[in-house]
Amino acid sequence: MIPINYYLATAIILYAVGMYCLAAKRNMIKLIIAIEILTSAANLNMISISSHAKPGAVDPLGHVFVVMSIVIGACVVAVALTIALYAYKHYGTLDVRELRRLRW
Amino acid sequence: MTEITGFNMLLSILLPTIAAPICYFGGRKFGRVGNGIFATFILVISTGLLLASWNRVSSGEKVIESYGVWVGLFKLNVAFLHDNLSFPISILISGIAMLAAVYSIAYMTHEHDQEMYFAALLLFTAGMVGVVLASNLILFYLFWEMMLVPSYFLIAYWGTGRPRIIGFKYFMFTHAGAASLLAGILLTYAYTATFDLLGLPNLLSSISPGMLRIIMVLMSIGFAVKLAIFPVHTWLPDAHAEAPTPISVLLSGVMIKTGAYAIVRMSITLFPSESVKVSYGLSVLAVITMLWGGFMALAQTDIKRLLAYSSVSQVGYILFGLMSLNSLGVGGGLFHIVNHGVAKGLLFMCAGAIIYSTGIRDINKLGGLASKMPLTAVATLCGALSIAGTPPFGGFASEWMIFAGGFASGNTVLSSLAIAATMVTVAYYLRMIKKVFFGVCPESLSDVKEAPSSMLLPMAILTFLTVIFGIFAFAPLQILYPAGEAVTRLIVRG
Amino acid sequence: MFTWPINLLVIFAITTPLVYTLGVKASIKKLVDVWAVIGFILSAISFYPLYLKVSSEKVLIHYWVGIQFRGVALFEIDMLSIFMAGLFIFIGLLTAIYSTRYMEHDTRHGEYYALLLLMVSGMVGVAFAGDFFTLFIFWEVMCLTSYVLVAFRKEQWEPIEAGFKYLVMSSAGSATMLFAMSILYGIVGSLNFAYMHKALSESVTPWSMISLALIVVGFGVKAAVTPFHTWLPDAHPAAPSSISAMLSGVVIKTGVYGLIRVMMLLFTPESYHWHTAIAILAVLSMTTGNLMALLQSDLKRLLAFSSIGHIGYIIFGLSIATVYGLTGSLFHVLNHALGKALLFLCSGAFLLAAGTRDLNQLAGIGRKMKITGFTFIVGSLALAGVPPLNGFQSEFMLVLAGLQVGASRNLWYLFSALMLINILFSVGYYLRIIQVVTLHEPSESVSRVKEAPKPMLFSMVLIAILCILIGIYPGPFVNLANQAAQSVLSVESFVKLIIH
Repeated sequence: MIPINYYLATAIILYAVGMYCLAAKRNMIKLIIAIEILTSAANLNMISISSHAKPGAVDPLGHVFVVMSIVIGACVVAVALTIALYAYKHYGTLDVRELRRLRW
Repeated sequence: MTEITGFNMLLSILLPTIAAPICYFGGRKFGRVGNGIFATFILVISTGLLLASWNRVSSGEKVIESYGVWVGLFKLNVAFLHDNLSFPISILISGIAMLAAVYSIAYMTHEHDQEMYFAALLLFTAGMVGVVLASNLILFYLFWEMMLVPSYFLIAYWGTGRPRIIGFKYFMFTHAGAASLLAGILLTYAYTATFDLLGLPNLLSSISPGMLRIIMVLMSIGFAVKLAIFPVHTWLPDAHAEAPTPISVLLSGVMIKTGAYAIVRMSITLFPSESVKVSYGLSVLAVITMLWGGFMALAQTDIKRLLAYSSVSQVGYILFGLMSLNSLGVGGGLFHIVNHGVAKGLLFMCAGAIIYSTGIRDINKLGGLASKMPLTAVATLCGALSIAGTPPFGGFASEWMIFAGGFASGNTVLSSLAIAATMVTVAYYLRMIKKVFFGVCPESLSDVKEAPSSMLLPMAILTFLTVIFGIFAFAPLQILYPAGEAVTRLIVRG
Repeated sequence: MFTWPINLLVIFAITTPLVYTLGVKASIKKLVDVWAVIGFILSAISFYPLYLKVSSEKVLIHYWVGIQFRGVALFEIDMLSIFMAGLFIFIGLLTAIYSTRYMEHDTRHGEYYALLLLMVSGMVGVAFAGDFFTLFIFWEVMCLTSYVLVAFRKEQWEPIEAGFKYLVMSSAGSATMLFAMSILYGIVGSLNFAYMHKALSESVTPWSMISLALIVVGFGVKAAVTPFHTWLPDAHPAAPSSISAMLSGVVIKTGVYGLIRVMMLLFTPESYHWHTAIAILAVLSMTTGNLMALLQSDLKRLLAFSSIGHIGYIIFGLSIATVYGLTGSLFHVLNHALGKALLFLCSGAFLLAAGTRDLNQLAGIGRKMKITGFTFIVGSLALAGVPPLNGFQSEFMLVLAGLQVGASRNLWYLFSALMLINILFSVGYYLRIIQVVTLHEPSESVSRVKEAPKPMLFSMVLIAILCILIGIYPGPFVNLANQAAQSVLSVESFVKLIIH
């Protein structure tokens, strides 16, 4: 069985990647993906911890939470994509630098 | 303390506060005159309610009215206090406000939104009376700011010149002072866990002297701004000169005096040992204020601006008297509060009457009005002479006491300078009177008439009072002098 | 299921689209608006017995899934929750009443009211939550609906841009919070607040410090504490004014609520010593907010920046972490919610009448719309901390608490002084908007405006009266805030209901 530290390290790396993506990327879709990555980092963390809670057993609590979180994440992405769609209709671009007032 | 012991003082503040919205909403129906009469009527009642404690105060009693808990968390009670110090000043405030309301009826004829004007006037008065009656620090601060807001709107809405900028300056200066005052109040609470003015003197002795000094200075800065002492006086000439005249009467006549009242009530009463240390410095500032205000007044040509600078100068006298820290000086300072309030109110009303009749504020363009407006001329003369300290007017008695107090406290040089400053006072008043009432009357002013009688009536009352306070000075002093004595007794002990 | 106040809000939210269709079919124009207002009123009414129950029992536990499952999925309602939730429902009700006329010219009322009701139910749920599972669900309900509401007028460019920015920053904040929750779950093995309190206060580890930092960031983004505030000045002005009032008035307060709950209960100040860090954040917030507000010429943007300043004051109270500090803090939550909601509602009325948010074009509008102008003055002065209005009462309490604690932590003298200076600064811009709106000569663009319609006036006047009332007689309101603060500090009674 893979020790928990590997999972934790991966989660932290995922979190860092997400943050970098948020800070550096200019495309709306990529920003939305960045948020997804951030949420996935947290979800992975949760799942791996719940699986290592007791040897040989899995804590259902973490799983419940993660399922919920995935559902909510989907909603957030849906809203985000809708807004991105409207932004595209307005400006004909997905580049956030092209939007007039957003300063990042 | 939770027992209710009377309603007079509460009502005297509450009535104008409640009447203000009535004035505002009913304003269109009553019309200007009706509104003015209503406001006056309310202020007459409120003055009457304040007068109710005359007997008990003059026999040396403290009248405390408490109405129960206000904020339980801080053990704050609502209570009002009438003693030798607050009684005369509260009467002065509501009395002058009453006369100003009468005066406004005719004066505001040409102005807009009169219903709002009278509402603000009532609130302003309620705030000032509240400051003087408040018996705990938070209530004091509350009213202190409550008089700021309506007076700001009165200046910024109906003022002349550039009212909004002047109003802004007025508000920011006073509010900065108030913030400093608030810091002092809160520090006091942090160390003593009470806001009660009567209980504080005993508790404050446990605070370390350094912190005591900080608190006292913070509070005094707030009072000094309101009182317009020299380095922080710059808001006064603007605000008082550009406000509508009845409001100038209130601002110059009574509002700045709340600063003087607060210095006696707090700076000296609560921190006697510290005020001994700063008294010399403040006396110097007071003399500078006198001279600065006097000389600036000499240079003015705008009649209301001249009067405003004269107020700066007179405030110096009051502070000088208070800072002599002996019963003669403090009593004189307190008496001068009354005298200057009456006389300066009178002078502003006269100036308003002149502006009302002629439409001119520049004294160089006026002249020879004595024959056209004889009553105004006499009233102006009485007011000017009273402030200049000429017997038999009220100002003579109080200034005499102030100087005597100054000499008694050993500040010979400063007192001599203060006496010299009265020369300046005489000079600018005589200059003003000469230019306005004597000399050649410009042709354009040949058909000028006296102001309407509703404006003359308050002027006549105030003229009468300047004379009465001079001849029968003992009457107000019977009440004011013990207040001075009570304060100075603390100094000796501390 | 979710206790009645939330149940009713959710039921009405679900039925709102149906009612809307019905209204359109039967051509009864205002049906859906009335339906939503009824929803809020019923929720408020059902809230009252809950309040009575909590005030007698102190802490109330309610498993909303119906069964006890390792301390998750439960509401743990104490006076703090009641205080915040009551405020949310009250402001929500007033906003709904206001919206009946304000949103008249928009379409899609069904969605609008459904989202508004859901948002309030989300906020109430956050205030009631007794574990991170519940908190997260309701948190996201609130966030999602608020994203959509900010971008509600999707045919204009500004709401879309601001909405996207808000969404990205806020959901990054939520994800950060989620990450912190996963770490905490790893440390404690539960998501319940009580268990977490026990485990976290016993041992301070690097992991718990990290999760503390992450959770402060997560709530800080929502509360718009300074380094994370950049979305707020875009999002709040872009939303419809009624929603701005909700966002600035109460939605950011959920962030504050989260901070207070988590910092006082989980990461107790005795073991984590976060006072100074939070105080620095607070001072930064108030200074940035107030300084930036001085520079704005867009009325709603100015108000948004001033919200950041006020969040600074509230967080300052948290950094003191005494009864007085928290009382002042919570009392200021109430006062700022009232004042800021009032100002946004007023600016909405101006916007509706004159069609602009630019201060220069709004000059003198208060002379034309006298009642709105008057309530605007009351709101501005209240937030400026001018007595005798409500803002002063709480601001003085905060500074007082700061000075009291200064005797033992000397740095707080400095912070309190900075806060006083900030209050003074803030008066500058409040006075400016008052002058522009009510004192200037009416400009061209406002020469033909009329007074706002009655339902809008009702909300505004009611809040204005409350502002004055709380200012003059703060006693009972302070007591409420004080009870809430007491319940925050009595951690043990909160914990012992779960861990016997």
